[in-house]
Amino acid sequence: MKLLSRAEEYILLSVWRLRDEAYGVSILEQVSKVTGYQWEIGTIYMPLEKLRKKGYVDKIKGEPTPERGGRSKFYYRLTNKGKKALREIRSVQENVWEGVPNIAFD
Amino acid sequence: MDTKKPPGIFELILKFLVNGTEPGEMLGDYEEIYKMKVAESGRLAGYTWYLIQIFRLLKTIIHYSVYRSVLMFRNYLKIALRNITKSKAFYAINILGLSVGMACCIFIFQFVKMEISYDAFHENADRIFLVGLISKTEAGTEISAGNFSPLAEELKEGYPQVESVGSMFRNSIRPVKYNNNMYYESNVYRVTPEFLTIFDFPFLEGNPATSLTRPSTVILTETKSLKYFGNEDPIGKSIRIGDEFFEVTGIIKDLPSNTNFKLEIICSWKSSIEDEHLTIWHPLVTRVVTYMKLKEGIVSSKFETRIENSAENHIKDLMNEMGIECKMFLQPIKDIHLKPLWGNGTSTALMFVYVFSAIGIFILLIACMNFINLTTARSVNRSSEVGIRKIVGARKVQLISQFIGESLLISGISLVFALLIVVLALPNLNEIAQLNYGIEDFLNSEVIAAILILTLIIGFGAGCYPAFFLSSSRPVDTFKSGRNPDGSRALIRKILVVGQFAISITLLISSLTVYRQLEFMKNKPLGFERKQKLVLYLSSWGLIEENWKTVKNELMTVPSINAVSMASGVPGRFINRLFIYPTRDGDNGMGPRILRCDYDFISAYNLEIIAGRSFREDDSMDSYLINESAVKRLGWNTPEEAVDKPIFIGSDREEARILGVVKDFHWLGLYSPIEPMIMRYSNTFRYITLDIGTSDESTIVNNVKAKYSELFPGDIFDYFFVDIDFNTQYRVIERISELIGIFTFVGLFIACLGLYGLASYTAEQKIKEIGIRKVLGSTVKEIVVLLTREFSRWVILANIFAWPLAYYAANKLLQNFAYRVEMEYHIYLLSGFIALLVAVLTVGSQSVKAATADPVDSLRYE
Repeated sequence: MKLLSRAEEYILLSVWRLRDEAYGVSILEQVSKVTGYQWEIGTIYMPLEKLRKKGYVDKIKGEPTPERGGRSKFYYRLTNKGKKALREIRSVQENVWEGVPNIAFD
Repeated sequence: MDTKKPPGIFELILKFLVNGTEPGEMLGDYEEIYKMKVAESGRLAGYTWYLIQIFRLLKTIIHYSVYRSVLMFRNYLKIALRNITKSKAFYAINILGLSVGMACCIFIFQFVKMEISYDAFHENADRIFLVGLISKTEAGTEISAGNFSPLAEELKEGYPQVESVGSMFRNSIRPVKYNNNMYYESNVYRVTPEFLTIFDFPFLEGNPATSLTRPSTVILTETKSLKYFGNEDPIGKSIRIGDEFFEVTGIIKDLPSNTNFKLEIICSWKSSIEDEHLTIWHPLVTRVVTYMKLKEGIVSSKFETRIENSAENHIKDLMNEMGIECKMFLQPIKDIHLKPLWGNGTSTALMFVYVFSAIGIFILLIACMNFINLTTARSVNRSSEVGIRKIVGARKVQLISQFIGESLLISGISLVFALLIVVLALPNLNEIAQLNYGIEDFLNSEVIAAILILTLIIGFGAGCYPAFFLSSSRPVDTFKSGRNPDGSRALIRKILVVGQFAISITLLISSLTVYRQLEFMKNKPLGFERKQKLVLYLSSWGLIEENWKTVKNELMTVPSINAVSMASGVPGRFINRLFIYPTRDGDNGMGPRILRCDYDFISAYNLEIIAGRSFREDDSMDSYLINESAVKRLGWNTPEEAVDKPIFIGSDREEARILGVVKDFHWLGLYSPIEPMIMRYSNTFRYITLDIGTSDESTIVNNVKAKYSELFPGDIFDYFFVDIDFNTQYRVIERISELIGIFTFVGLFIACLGLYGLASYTAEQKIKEIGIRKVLGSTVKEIVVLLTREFSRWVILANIFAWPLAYYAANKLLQNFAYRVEMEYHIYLLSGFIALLVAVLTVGSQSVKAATADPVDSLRYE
């Protein structure tokens, strides 16, 4: 598996957390919430597109809504391949951090 | 309307920026967030947020596109450099031709720029004028830059429109002495204090307002100061100029070459010796030059009419008595160099500017054609590259920019070499063109801008054709074998070669014509003797009148002086006109040039008397000689008829007798036609001609000078040699001739480089054909003829275009001369032949190489 970039990793996780409600704005809010700083909306499209091309997420056109000026929401949903990727990321992360004591927070 | 929607224009911009991908998703998201922002902190915050988003997006897009094109650019550069190293000879030819052409253009541009910017460096150059003088007498009109000596005061006091006005007077050669070193200086001037405030001379020490206010003070240029004082501090030192001492009160930087002011030593107007010539109003004392700066907003033409007759306030009676009408005129200082209103009206500087601009454009054309030609020829070899690029998805724009970029690269490299050539060739060009440019003259924004624009235009212009041609070919075609690699390109190439040679031949014919004209002028007998003649120029009329015989005898006592003759002029210098009539009452008057001279003048200058006799010492003062042209104008058929006939002089129709007729001679040289001329035996003179029988010029000048100051104490000793003075008028044409010669050579050289490149390319293309022909029994000669024949045809064709163009150009050039060499067809044939010969030699050398190669090498496959 090719390693994902940090942004891709966060976004992929957000998509998983949001389940059926993952679309541009909600993803933005989610990533901003977990990372603790405000992301710019423009920065999430490129990683999303890359994830889609890698086959980790699907993109589904939803119903038009008035708050979007009558435009459709585009929902993202984790694929099985994406789930597998998340698992792998996690194990890589754990390997990386294994045995490191909590010195940084003392 | 939903006022909470983001502004339409923002959405439009966003849509435009994300052009190509699905915009609905982003627009929707943006609108949602925008609405949240508005709900949170108001419309303004929403707008700001949206705008920031747009800029961010823009930044990203720019970043990515630049990044991508940088990647592509690296590939292009790599390919270009590979190509260059692969065919070094070809690119060497290309770059050499282009850089030589560019070097010529850079030099010519600088030259023309300098010529048209004379004195423009003064901040208020538009408001600065020289006040010139038109003096009309019955004899004719004279226009001069010199004016009445005290005119500046008159303008200062009488006219509030004048901001500042000053006078300048050029001294003749003066000895300058400091410690025990003596130097002879020719650029010694006297100026009034206000003169310095009109202009912006670059002061290093002292300042324009105060430096020359005290009498007997002087300002030096940096160079002169260094020459006299070395490392000493010049300020306050005293130097001797002529017979007076001056205190140095200021130093200015050397003046640039594009100024009419040749000031090197600037003396204060007042000094210990009073010079009344600098203060009196007199119609015949007009050697002081007056400059004036008008106040802002004053219309110069209106002001001109106001001051026109200002001399009348002072010397109206004297003018009436002498029959002189004086009118002032204003000459803008920026026009003095190219369009002087005085002199004989034609400006050689202007002719220079035209000739050089034309040559510059021609050479640039030849160089560009060369470039296009070689590049297109070469590009055939790259059609496979283009085909592959197209197949892997290169867009047309990309291909075009690749080729244009490559040609920009070549022209950039050429530029570097061109600058190198300029630096190396500058000393030689300076010497030939009698200019004084330094490298630093080229380092100004205009030249640099012109050079860069030139490079861009050449690179772009020359790259355009191959770029469009190659990029529009179909990929399939580029791989097809057996097709004619040239096709329609061959036609363009032919046209370009023909054009190049047409221009070269035009230049060749022009330069030969000018050269022949020069030879013609140098060798044509002028009708008088001008060798070994020292002329003394008296500072004013009236110094010699009744005393003329004494002066003559005194000067004869100076060793190695063979003869002394006096006159109101000498050959090469303008003289006045006089009205004469053939009858006492009738019309048909005419205004020939009048020369008043003594009885020795005719023999001193070896003028030929063809009828009657010359003056004798005991002739009366109303005896006249006339020249052949005057005989014709007065209506006699042969010179003999005119002898002993009366003519009637001036408005009084005073009767006089014609003693004899002088054969026509070229008083003013060959620029102007021979005018009718009459010579009067007289005793009012301005010029003394001394026939010297020695070549030791400095001794005799010193001896004569000693005698002169005895005879005319206090008068300025001004002298020159007739032959040198006379020949200065040919210097311009000599320079033109030499420079056209050089540039013609350059043009032909570049054209041949191109031909050489093309020939080697053709030989390369036909290498198999040549091999097969040789195997089948062709001789080397036949193959050389085969390869040379086509190129020769183009060159011959070029002649047909060149001849009318050259005829026009040569005609234009020759119009500057009254006596011109005949246009001869053999010059045209010769030029055509030279071009053909050079072309055949160039192509031939390549052909022989191709023809003598072993066919085995060329036919062996794989």
